[in-house]
Amino acid sequence: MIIEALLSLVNVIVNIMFTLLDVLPDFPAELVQMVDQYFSLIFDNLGLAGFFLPMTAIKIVVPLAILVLNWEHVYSMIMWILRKIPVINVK
Amino acid sequence: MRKNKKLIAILLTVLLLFNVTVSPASANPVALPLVATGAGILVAGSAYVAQEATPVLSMIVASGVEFVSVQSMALATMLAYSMFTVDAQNEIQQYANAESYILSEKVASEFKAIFAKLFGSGASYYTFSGTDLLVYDYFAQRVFSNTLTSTIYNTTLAEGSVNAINSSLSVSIVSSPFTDGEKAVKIINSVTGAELIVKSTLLNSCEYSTFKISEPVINPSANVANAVGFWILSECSEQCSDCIRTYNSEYIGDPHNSAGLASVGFQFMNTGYKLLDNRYITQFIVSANGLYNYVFNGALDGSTTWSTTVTPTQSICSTVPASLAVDTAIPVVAAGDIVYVPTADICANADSITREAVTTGEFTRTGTGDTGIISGVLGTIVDLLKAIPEAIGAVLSKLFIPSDGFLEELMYKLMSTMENRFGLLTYPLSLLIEFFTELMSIDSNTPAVFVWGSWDYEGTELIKSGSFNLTEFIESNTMLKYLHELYMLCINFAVVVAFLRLCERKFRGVMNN
Repeated sequence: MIIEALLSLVNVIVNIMFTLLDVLPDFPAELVQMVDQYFSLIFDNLGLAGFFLPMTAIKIVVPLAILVLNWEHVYSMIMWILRKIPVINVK
Repeated sequence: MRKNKKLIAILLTVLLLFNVTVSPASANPVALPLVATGAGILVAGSAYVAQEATPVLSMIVASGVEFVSVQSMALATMLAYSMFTVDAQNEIQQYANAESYILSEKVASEFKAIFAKLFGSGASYYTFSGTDLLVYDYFAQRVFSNTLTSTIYNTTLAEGSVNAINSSLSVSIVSSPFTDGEKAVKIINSVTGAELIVKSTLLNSCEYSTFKISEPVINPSANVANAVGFWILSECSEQCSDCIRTYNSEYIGDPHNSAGLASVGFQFMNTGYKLLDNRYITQFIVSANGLYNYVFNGALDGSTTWSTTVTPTQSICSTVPASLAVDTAIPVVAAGDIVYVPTADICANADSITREAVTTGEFTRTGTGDTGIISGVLGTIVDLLKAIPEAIGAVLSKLFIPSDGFLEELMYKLMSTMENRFGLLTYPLSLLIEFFTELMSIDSNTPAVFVWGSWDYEGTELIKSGSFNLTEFIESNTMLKYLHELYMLCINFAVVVAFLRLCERKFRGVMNN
């Protein structure tokens, strides 16, 4: 509920900010095609990553590592939210 | 005033576009053309209803049956008409060109019985045990270079007669021997040892499917008598929209075995919807033999049975036989009438009702055993005490964990805003998101296929396109396979150790402030 409200607020702020900016032109179609060709080669062969890397373990470890690395910020944010709830009385 | 007129005109146009209409021009004097432009669950299309059957169409419309296509509406009308007794048909025919007609007791009672047969849940001709269903997780085997194919590989399955009763057939999904990275259906006759391998678009049409295969069945729709085959049902979560999942159904069979005719010559495939009562309805199955609808009964745990019905069953959310009041004037459909207004959210509502029922079922306790009232009361208190931390946990998780689909919706909104505002700058971001999405979808079962395209130079093809399946290559060599497993074990170990080391460093950092 709280996270949803905060994220919705971020969305509104981003929208307001972007409306103040001018619209930039689209990426040229020819360039998109060239880049797409190159990247499709990579995407087609992305399955090879699973051959050399333990993707199941990586999929679990990477989000946890991000959480651990940013622990201070995550902790601060959770405590900041909890302090706002009077019933819990967290100092 | 002018504005209001414009508004009315627009509203009327929208109404006409999004509803089934009976087109005014009729090329055939004995048939009434029905046209659906598509709205909600209704698929756009056209069909004909015989003029004498239009009162039946009116009865079906008045009964409030929901349809997914205008063809199913027309077919249901014609089938219902053919199921009336001759006396009732004669009576109905008299009102074919009337503006309205008064329903007699005879026609009303017959209609109720016919309605139950056509739209009810009990009409099934074949029932199969659900215990032998195979569930195949196609997601685990998905490949990225996915070329669709619709070719059927024709092979004679067996020399002798095979039928659903002696059940000597077994079926499985295997790697296609025809195209690398694709799937095929393998049917084996355990008596003769003969095999049939069939390529199918269904197996490659959705990358996130779960397949269910029925036991050997007799295909009732083919003109060929007792054609034996299997039904394959795929649940395609990728195409889910508005809470309606798409189900593909396909019958693969070989009429040669029991009918002595040419080998595999038919293939049915179409999309359908899940019903409230755990049934799956297909839309029209089009074959050279005509149009057919099928309904499957099925549950993932195999506790219920599958069945096929040879009669079309188009009722999406209502299986209660409708009855029309006797002595009521029913307006007869005429050219140009809007006969049917489909509701867009009918199945979305049905889906939420189903989910609600399941959730309620999880928390319903039935019975307290035979230990008496005190233990029953104590049990309730213990349950209540146990429920408190669960409830607190649920509240806290609700506070911090966003609801299902919220983040996806937010990301979509942010991305569309950025695309609108930033233009070319969002392209690298889109690529990055796509890259990580693809990367996250890889698991240990994903085959490692190296794919390369052709390389042309001044019109000459220097390098031909091709692919090399590294997984198959490794698995064909025992030593290499062993080495690869050893390598993966080491990497797994290294990843876990690195993570633990990171945790330790972080812990020390936090403790030392």
